[in-house]
Amino acid sequence: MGDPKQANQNITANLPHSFDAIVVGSGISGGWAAKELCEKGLKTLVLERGRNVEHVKDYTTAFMHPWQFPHRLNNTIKFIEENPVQSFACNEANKHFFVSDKEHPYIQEKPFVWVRGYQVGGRSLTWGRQCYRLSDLDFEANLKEGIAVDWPIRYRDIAPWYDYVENFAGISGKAEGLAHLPDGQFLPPMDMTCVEDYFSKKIREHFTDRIVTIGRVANLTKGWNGRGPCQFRNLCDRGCPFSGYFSSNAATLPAAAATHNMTLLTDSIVVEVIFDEQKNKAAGVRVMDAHTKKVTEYFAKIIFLNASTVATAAILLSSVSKKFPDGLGNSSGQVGHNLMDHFLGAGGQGEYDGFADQYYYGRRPNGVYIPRFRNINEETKRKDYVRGFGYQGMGVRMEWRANAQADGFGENYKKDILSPGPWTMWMNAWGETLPYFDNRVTLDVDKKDGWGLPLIRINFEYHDNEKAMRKDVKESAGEMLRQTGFNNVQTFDYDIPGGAAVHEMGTVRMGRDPKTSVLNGFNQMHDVKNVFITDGSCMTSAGCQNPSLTYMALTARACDYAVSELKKGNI
Amino acid sequence: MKRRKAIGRILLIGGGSIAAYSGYKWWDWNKGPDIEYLEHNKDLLAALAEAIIPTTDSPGAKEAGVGDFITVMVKDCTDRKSQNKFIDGLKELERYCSSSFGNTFQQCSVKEQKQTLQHFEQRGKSNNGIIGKVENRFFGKSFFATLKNYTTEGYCTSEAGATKGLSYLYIPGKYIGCMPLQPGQKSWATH
Repeated sequence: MGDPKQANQNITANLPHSFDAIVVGSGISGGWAAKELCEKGLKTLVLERGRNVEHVKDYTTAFMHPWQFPHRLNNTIKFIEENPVQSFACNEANKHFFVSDKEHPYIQEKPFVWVRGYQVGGRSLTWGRQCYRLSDLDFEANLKEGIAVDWPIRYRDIAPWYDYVENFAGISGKAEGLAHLPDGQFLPPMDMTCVEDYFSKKIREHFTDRIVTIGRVANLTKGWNGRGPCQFRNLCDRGCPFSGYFSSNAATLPAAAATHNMTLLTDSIVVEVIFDEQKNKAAGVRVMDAHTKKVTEYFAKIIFLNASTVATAAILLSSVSKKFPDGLGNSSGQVGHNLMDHFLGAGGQGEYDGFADQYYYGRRPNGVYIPRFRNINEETKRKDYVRGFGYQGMGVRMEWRANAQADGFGENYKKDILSPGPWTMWMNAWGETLPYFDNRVTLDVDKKDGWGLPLIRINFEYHDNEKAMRKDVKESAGEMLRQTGFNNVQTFDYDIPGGAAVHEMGTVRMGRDPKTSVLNGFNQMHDVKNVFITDGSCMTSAGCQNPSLTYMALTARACDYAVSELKKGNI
Repeated sequence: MKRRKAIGRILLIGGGSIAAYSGYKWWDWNKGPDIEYLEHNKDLLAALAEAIIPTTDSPGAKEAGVGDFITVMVKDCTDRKSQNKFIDGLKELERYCSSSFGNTFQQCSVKEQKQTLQHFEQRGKSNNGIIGKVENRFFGKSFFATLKNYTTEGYCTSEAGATKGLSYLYIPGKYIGCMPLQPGQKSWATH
């Protein structure tokens, strides 16, 4: 597979301006749209607002040792002051894959960290890589509980597409036979450490309703489709020169490029979608060159918006026409609303006396997972909240960072920090947040960014359901650790702002009724049939599972539908 | 599970009244730090680091270049209040050595160096729990805490410290979750 070829800015004048398809964004879902549409024979223009990141070549820090970084991976005070949001998520080794907060401001009506990566591959370069399927417990939840609107799909609709994307991406994990966390097409699972294995066995003994399984992760435990295997360096977020994990750069964009149907344009900011009032369809997109600010129009039969949850909503809200004065495809008034993120920052940790003569080898880019065990059925029903959470955790030996808390100095202190410390088990929940109409993305009427585009306002807060769940998260973590024989158990519940999970979802939701939703069951706009949206914005509810795998499956499914509709002449 | 780091980084935001302290104190903590003093005292920093992590059968902090690292970190990665506390602490330590032993720290005997560090370790102890965290946030970290943190971090992430003090795997190539600890096995340098 070759590297995606970037169309040089100097030759854009000679580029055709008409394509079969346009994909806006090259992140985890845009990469999939590019691959699927190109492989189905469509001449596809992929627009990325940021710079090119060529696979391997542009992973400039990937082979660096800790001592080659002047601040040994710490962010400087100056960098933190200039990047109060991104510095939350990045470090000295990967900060070139995050935007500059100074250049890319937005307005936080309430604290919300909007972590972004404006480059080819987007955040697929730096994502957490955890991959879990949703199930009918998730797809039916809104309907059963009368919350927001019903998902227009069920598990059977998406299951084959989960198979399809897993088979290409390569997800390692272990089948557990849980109905509410369906098994997938797994590469061999990674090992648990001694203490994780112990914890897993004890949890099964003490709790009939829960298990501990190895994380399901998009790292290749064996060579796969010409990529990998993972070298267990745990430096994924610098970009992997071994193609050991799934990213657009390593996997989908090279596949799209191999068809010779893809034109990738970088540094190209989509300002709006052009609506053709006569044909009642989108005609194309208006694109601003990020450097020269020159505006160019490109046209296509179908348009996929994959700019990420917040940005996709902003593009729609900016695309004002006579028919859609409130934004393209926004007759429902739902565009920008129902913003969700998983909540995190609550959990527990404990130490284990034992396995003093055991250790591990290599750096596993993964942890263990405790799938949701609340509100699964009548027996696990809670009175204080709906939905649930899953814990992600790890059991490792303390190392110098933790051992350095001890008093003293000199030879004994040195011995302490250089020897493996006690085993600890740490766990933190990713919890479901409900879709609230008031949690929303809007455009500021006055303030503009450096490109003259309206600043995005984000208004987001957690409500009582999440707060009640957090309490249970903290208590249950303590209970599980204590009952399985851990000592010095500490539980925590940090007040972390929304956005911190980097799982923004829901601003352009799917639904059955055009009056209350923006997209139909194939991620097609109810109002504008040749526009498809398959990034996180399409999510009708959040589940508690890490969502990227679902975006991938929905994207592949929507591409299949879009091309078949195109061929039938329906769009 | 990178977010673990992010969570660890979140500062505890607590109430705490600064009104009770005089304006002078406030100025003293927030004044422009005397960075030049640091640059001129790299030998002192190296000697202090070496006293915390001495040469044994593996290299010590001096060989690992920790003195330079402390200077870089105090300059670039330390908040204003902790910077001032650190530089003031360093000056105070010089005075302490001079008045107690009539020597610079570098010239002090091992025993005198130990006594000096014990003195500053004791003074730098913060309150436990939330009060300690609030203190650190509003008044900066103690001189000794900053010295010891940066010494340890500088050593464990240096080439000498990571590869000869600790055990460093550049490209492990495989993962084994559970295996017997090898005789003399050092802690892994990176995770």
